[in-house]
Amino acid sequence: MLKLLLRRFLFLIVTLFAVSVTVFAISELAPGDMATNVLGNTITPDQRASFNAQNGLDQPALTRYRRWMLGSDREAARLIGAPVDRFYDAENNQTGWWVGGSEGTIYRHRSEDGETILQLERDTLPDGKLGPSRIVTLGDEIWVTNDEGEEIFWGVNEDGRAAMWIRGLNQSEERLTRAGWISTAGAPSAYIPLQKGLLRGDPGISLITRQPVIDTLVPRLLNTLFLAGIAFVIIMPLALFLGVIAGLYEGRPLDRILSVGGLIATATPEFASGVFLIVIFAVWLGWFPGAVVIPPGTSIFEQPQMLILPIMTLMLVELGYVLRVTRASMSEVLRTNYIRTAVLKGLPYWQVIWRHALRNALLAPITVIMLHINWLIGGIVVVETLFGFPGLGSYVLASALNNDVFALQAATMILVVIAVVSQLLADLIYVYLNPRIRYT
Amino acid sequence: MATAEQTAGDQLPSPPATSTSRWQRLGAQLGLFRRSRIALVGLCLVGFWVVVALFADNCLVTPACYAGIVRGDDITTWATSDEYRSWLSRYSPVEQFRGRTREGPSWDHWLGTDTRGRDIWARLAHGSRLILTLAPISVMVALLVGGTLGLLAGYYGGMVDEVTMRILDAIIAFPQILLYLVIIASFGASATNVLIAITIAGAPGIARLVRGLTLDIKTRDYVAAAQTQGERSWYIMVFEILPNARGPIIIDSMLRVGYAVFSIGTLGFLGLGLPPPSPDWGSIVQAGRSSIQAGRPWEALWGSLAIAMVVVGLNLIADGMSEETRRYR
Repeated sequence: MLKLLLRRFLFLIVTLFAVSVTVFAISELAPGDMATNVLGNTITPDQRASFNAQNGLDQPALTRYRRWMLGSDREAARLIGAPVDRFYDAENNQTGWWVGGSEGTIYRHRSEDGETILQLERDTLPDGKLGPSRIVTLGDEIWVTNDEGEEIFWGVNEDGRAAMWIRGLNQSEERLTRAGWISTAGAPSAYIPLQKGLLRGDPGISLITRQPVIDTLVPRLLNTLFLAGIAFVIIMPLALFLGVIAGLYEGRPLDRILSVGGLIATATPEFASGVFLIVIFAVWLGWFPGAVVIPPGTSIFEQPQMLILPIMTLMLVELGYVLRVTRASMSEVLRTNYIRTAVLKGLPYWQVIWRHALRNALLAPITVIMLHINWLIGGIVVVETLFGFPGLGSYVLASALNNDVFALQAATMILVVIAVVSQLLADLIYVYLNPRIRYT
Repeated sequence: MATAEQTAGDQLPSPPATSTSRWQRLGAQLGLFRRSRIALVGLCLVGFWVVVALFADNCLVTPACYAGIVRGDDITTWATSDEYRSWLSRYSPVEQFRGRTREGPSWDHWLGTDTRGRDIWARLAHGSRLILTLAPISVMVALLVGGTLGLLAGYYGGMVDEVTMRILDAIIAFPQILLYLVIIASFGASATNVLIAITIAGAPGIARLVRGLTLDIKTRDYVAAAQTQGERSWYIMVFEILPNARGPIIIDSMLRVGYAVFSIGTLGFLGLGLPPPSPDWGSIVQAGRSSIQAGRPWEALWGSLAIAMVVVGLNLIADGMSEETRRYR
């Protein structure tokens, strides 16, 4: 048992590693230039070069994979010689990286000519806010001579990236700001985009919104878990119940209706059944809203009636599937010798069903349900898109369509972790429930 | 797809063919539709769209239109060419009727018009071709890839088996929708990429099924006989094992074609299908989605209905088939 557990766990780790490499590789191998995909094909070569350098896209794939998984802040802190961390700036509503001083002051750097470095200083106030900024001109002593004999300085630039200036090298860079592209002088020669890494819960900055991916990801994940959770809690008992009924009355009209109905419900793609439901319940009958519209500042929890149709859509697809598995399992169990024995020795019908058949019959569906979470994820992407629900599924799709690579990678990884872990759980539950395996 | 493995995997390979003629056997196969009402309903649903796909334009009766296809005529030329109209679909799928957008069903436009004033029926009819060719082809490619891997893994066993199956397990662990998203988002939306995505997603399941069947059939006497006779491994795999594994594989493929239609539709709906103005059913639903709330649900409704018909039909046929084999066991 323990050996099996270990084996499965090891396999889980290997799978996740393989998946992370695959996700990374596929998005890396994408034809065309990432900068062009994100920014459009009107950018100049200079802009492209700056964009690639600033986002670390000019680095070798291995370096980028390492930074993506494990983060780049330690590497940067070593070069800078001081810790770096994220601080929230309430005025601009932005979280950014700063060099975090020990005495409650944080720093960023800028240069206008590549010769002198200006240091932006802000105090971190006790209430978590940041104080007003001061600008200090740094002296000559900051420059360090590197192996090539150049005088260099590592700091964090105004965009929150670790950057290296070379003294006397006055080059320009193209920066994409909210106002559009601007060209600035005194640019750094190398950058490290700062992130803590996926394993430490920071998959980087979105290329589209330029906000940390994690800030969008977490609320959306919660929304999705809420939606899927409710659906799951409603579907499962219902599907198991109907499946058992169908199995008990195998071949009779009730069973035919349930199982053919289940087949039709499962086979119909989510977007199609969703459209049917919207047309019937939102357009013709006008009972429930046909789209999820959430005014800013409110949460989905305040308007549960908006969730009815999305949940029903998810239900239709899942219900039929679980129902059919349960039915097959039940009818199989009912044909076994031990059930015949129980019936023949004169046990009451319901006792045979309840004590002997049901326990064995539910074994298969319970594991299948867990394995089916993979499937549920697909349904969620479609349902969220159809209803405009702000969850992880629609986020994955939006980032895929916008070529927001870091967001796509992160969201994909989260969903894969959910899927793989649920598969592991399925195995464990199966082993736990099935004494024939448990005791070998 | 879990369903496919579930239903198809628990059947034993069909018994070796008896000495009946090919036609008799085909007749016996078709008898399925006489005996199973479910399969017959499925056949009608799918058959309807097959007929529509065949007669959506006049290519079957006017050979001139083949020339257009061979030339690789752009889809936009459909708007002007008369060969692309038939008794079944009076308009071309890209012809726009100005001022007649988002209409409901009428005598002129049987199912109404879409947001750009195009005839919905014409679009669905031409879209049926896309989906009814792309889905079987992609399943065939997946069958080729998955079947080969499964045969090799099952027949040779040992390391080959272990390594292949572990890799395939990892792919199966990956939610398919994400596979599609990542592949198509990275490589762009086109028929080829949709095909590749469906192959990658489907092959592992097929490989698993074929491997299981191979492991079973490998132990039969006729395989041992062939081995003793000194037949080569590939010959045994292709001519001894594969034909005897075909029953479950056929049922599984039927489900997979249904699932491929499902996937192609979903991809189209998500905006990852064939690029416009191609009359892809999923894209039709996506395009009509915004008009539903305005009380003009026709475009989305008909698109959904069409795709549901085909998928449900294929599933019903597969269900009837597996019911049938179960009965004879």
